[in-house]
Amino acid sequence: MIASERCDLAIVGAGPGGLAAALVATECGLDVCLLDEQPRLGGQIYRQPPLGFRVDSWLAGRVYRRGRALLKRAETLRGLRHIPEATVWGLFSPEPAAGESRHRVCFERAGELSALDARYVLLASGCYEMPVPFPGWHLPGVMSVGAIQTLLKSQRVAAGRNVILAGSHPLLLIAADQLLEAGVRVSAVIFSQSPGAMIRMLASPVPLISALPQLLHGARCVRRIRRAGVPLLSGHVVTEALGSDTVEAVRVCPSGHHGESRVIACDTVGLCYGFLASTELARQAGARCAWETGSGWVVRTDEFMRSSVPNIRVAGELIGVAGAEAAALSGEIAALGIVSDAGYLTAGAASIRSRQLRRRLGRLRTFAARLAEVAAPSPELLRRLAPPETLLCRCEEVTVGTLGDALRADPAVESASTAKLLTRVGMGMCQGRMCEHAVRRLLGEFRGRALEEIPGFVPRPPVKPIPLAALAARATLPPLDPKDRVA
Amino acid sequence: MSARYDVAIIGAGLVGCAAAFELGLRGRRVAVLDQGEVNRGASGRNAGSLHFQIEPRMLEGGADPQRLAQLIPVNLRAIEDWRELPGRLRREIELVMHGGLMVAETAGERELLVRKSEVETRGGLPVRLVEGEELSRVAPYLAERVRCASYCTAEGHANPRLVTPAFAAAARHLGGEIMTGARVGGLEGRPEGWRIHIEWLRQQSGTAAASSLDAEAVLVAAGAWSPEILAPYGVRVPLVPVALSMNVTERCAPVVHHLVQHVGRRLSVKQVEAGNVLIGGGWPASLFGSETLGPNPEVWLREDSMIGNAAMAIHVVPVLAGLNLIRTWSGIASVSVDHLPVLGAIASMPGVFIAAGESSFTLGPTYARLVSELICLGQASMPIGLYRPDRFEPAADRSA
Repeated sequence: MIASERCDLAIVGAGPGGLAAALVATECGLDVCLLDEQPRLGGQIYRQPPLGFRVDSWLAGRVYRRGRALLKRAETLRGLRHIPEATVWGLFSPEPAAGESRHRVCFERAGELSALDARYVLLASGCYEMPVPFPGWHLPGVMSVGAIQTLLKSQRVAAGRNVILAGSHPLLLIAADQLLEAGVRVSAVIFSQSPGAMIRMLASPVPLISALPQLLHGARCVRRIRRAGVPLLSGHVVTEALGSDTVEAVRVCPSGHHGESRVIACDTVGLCYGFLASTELARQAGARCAWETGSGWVVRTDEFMRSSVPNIRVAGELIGVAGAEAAALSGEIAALGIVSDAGYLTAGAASIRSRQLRRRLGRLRTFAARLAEVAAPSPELLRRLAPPETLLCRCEEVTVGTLGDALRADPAVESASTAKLLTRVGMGMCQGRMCEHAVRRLLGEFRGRALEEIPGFVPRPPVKPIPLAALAARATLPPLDPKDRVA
Repeated sequence: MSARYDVAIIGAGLVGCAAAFELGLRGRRVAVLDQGEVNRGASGRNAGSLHFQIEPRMLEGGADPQRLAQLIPVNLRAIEDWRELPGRLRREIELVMHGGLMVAETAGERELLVRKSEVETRGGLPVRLVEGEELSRVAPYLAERVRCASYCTAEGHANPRLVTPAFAAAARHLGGEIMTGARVGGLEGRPEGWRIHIEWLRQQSGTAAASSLDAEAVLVAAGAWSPEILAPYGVRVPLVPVALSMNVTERCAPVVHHLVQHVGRRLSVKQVEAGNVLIGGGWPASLFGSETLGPNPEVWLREDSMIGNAAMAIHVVPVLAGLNLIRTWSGIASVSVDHLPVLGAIASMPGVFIAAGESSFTLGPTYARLVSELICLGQASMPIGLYRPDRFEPAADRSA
């Protein structure tokens, strides 16, 4: 067995959701362990430079003020145990009949496996950009906008010298602004939507008011991008990344079917077509999920973020991608639920304290839902971006056409898991994170079913690859029978 | 009006699809029903080993040589069956028969191998003992602590992802129909055979799905689900479900060239064509639930199984220590008290047959052939009395 320690609450993910929850739970007296893959607190949105590095004016903007305050409080909080550079690869839940119910949170750290036996588990593992297959998307230099931001935030590394940003999500504007501020050349920012669609987003006053700071930040970004002379193209898509060993240019076409394509030179492409919540741990643990456009598989919860698995709670993007402020609010609400369930706070107090938070969270989520609607690329666009020769599963090098042939040949294939068995899609090192949604979309098209109805790959431990030797090191093999041993 | 078939097969796993193929070749009109999808049970979730040596668990408690000798003919037949399969199916199944090694570490284990291979050699199985320098030449990747191995040149592996779909496609090509999401609601005896009532678990695309079909004969080939299909008719199928776990590493250059098993411990290791190393050997997963498995049994991987299996694999093949584990999965196999399958006619239900349980990947194509002969000709081309479904019932109840 893996050696373990006990705690009241194990939180997976030290972004805004995990941090806010850790603060509330620790201050209420719970013994909290906060696990994260990174060396320092903050998650991706508040990604800090490594210890010993200094980055001048790190996340200087107004929108990050709240985040910086949260980080400062967490870093100086006594009693909170932070376990950095820890990859949680499995959640093992007590058997239904077992007497004491503790969840076992298994993690790898520096090549060694450890575990926490926790009464409550809060999953706040964030999200990642929805990967969108198109010809050339596997070339070095083609990356998610988040990756470009991470390089910038943590070590002031420019991902390239000549960057093109493309997709359908407003995050492109923020990333462009950050790149320009860092002195990187941005050759174009390309949105697939028409200008009309983007304006319609702002037409409804309710989300407009609730997300005023975000919208103002977006508007400031647009102004600076324009001032820098960067072409802001709408109604266009990058249909192909060109280059031999690395990306050298992109082909850009109008989103509609008519109009000429052009080739724009670049050495880096940053893409963002929306997000997928990182719910693999929650799904591995058996939490009930549903598919939502703009968020991927999200965990179904009650008003205190309780999942369908007893004592497993979720926060942040796992309930629907809605950004940092919403993540912090849901983290706080989840923590209030936990401390009250654990008897550290009355149910009445938890209810009163969470009411205000819930109201604000509701408004932010309304805005997020509207944003997701506007930002989501249409199924037609996604289909057009991935002609048959496009790599679908990069790990196993399975093309869209190969999967299509398999689905045509075997009309009985109905789920992503069966498609995986037939073609090897999703069998590689990324464990299907890159291709699952595209596989399901293709299945839906072939079988005439809605995306929500198509089951995904079954997440099982390890939800991230782990060294076989690390597992083996935790074994105590039964000794050989002494009579059996030969001198 | 129900559609009429010669044979209705319950279960679209390896045995069911292979039987559909064999029966199709004999000109029978066949329908295969499955509550899930093709190949989603143990057939697609095992590790794909083709093991023809007598299994270690058969040797437990010093099994008598005469009984062991009885196990060999079906394995000999299976070796032939697998060799012919790529030609018969004309589809890629990634069949490799480069040989398999059952390793021993201790004097006691070596002794077990010696006794086992004597029985096997007498029975005609191509097995010999390999040790010392020869062993390091044949399998340089084995740990030094491995002193001896019995080497069966016919062993190897095929890809469980591909074998059952290949049988299914070949069966369809012969006119067989495969209905998925079709749960058997009941078997109703009729003068001319059986009426099978169908509960559709998924909305069917295309034509409206019939609620029943008629067949002269019924073959239950539903693996671990077989007992719950026949239980309503007072038939006790002597099989128990067991959830087993499998592990797979990232891809690497070819290093393990054989199927590797251990005579004294739970281990099977092999490297598949893509380069991934599959590690299994009978480590359990947890199976929760009530008396019946139902369409979606709850299976959980176990931490101790993952650890134990990883350790055993590195213990025997040290080079695996450098690899990452990328995936685990489990499948629900079915086992019997004597480790033998359940194969034959159901005495109390004329026209109903069963082929399920125990080594149904390695021996599945052969079980399907034998039961198809039984259905079409009234008897199989080799003795299968050892596997009769009522072998554990009191002798007085037996009809013959």
